[in-house]
Amino acid sequence: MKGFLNCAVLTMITGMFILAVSSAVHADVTVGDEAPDFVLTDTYGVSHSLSQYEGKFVVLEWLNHDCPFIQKHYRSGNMQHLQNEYTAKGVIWLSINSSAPGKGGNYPPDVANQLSEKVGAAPTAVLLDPEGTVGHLYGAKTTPHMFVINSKQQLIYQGALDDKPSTHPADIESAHNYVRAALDQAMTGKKVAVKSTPAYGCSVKY
Amino acid sequence: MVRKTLILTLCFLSIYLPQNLRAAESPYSLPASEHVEVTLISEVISIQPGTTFWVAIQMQMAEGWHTYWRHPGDSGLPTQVEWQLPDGLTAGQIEWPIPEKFTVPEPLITFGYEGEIDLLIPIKPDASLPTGQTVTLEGDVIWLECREICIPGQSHIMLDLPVKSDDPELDLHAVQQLNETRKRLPVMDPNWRIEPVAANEMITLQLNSNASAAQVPSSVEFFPYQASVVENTGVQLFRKREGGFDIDLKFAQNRDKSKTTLEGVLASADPWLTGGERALYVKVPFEPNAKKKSFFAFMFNRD
Repeated sequence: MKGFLNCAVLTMITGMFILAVSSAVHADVTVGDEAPDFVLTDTYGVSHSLSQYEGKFVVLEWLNHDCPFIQKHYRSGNMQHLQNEYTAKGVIWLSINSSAPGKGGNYPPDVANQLSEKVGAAPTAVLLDPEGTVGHLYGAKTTPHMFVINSKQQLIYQGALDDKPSTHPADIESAHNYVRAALDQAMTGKKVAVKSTPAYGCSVKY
Repeated sequence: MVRKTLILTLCFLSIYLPQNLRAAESPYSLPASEHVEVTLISEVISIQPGTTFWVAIQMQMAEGWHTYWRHPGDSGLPTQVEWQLPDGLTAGQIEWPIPEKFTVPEPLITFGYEGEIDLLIPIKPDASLPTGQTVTLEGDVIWLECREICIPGQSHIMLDLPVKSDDPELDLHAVQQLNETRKRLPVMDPNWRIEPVAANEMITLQLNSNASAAQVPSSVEFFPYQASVVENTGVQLFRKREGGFDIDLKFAQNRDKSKTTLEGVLASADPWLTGGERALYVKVPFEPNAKKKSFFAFMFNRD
């Protein structure tokens, strides 16, 4: 009986912790500003900080495999293609999962790895952010929500992956990919034409 | 002690087990959309060449589920209709009733509908549409339904209507239902003047009534039509005064500075507008105010 009481207390404490985190301060970042540093652990237990990648371009992709908008870009191979293409060019691609425990898309690390393998995901790492700390730090609203950071660790693009807000894979071919455009422009020393767009997708499951 | 550890372990597992079970299903086999029922209804039971009539996409959401407004907010997708109409019929845009605001999960804000909603659409038959035939209104409604998860939904709609030279015959039940929905549509009201004042991070809408006995609402809320001008999440400060009110809206963090028109709806629970309506359509150009620079930035910033 006492054990069950402990369990109830533990569940309550966990619940309170989730509540406390979900009401954390909402701090967005503005394009042109320095990208705020963070430290997160990936699905293999390896720690990554943003600052360790200074000197390289970094893409942050908010991820939730249960979301039909994410599925649109993975089922079609669109996201994996971008990941392969740009990591080959030296870009660091960090997929961040901010789903809270018990919410859609929150998987233990080994299951997350199976999912990545199954869909052939090719980011540098999948980072786990179950408290939503980094999600709130960047003001990540949707899955996907994309952020592009230059080698000086300044935010140069935030928003949607492309200009076709839908769940239909067929829309990808005719879509203009904002992340590709921002990377291509910035990596060849040009100005990023479109710096910010409204992200589209499922809500991040904080 | 062993027993206690066992129970705690079980407890811990109970937190993680559901995810493991869920993972056993493929992440790419979406559950079928079964939370929204869609029906096409018409205000008329016969149509007349040259006379516009109204139809409604009636959506019934299962408890806890919602679909989205024209601007879904921080996430989601607006409901769309892809018409396949016969020659001689043209569909207009959806008229969207005032949405509800959803604030889960924090800090995100979305706009949409729970329960039942009618999306009104005008259909115009050409004056040259031949009479004595029956035309079929047909199309696909595409939406995103969300509760804790989101599922894309699609439904084929179809309705047969005879074309007659007489005045359109009304379906009084449908007329009554659409009239109820019309009370929730935004309107223009020349009795209310809207003055936008942009300053730094905020844009203030100053509203003043021309009417001698203006009914100033006890509170209003602004629902933006686009994401890139003002925040969906921004705190909206409302100040009531004699003959009008002010409402402060926070500019979007990464706002598109090329956009200098604010468009949306000011809605209240009170019937504050001239015809007793509750929602005012707003479309105002504003003077974008450059970011105020600090003294030192002013001295040293050569940009």
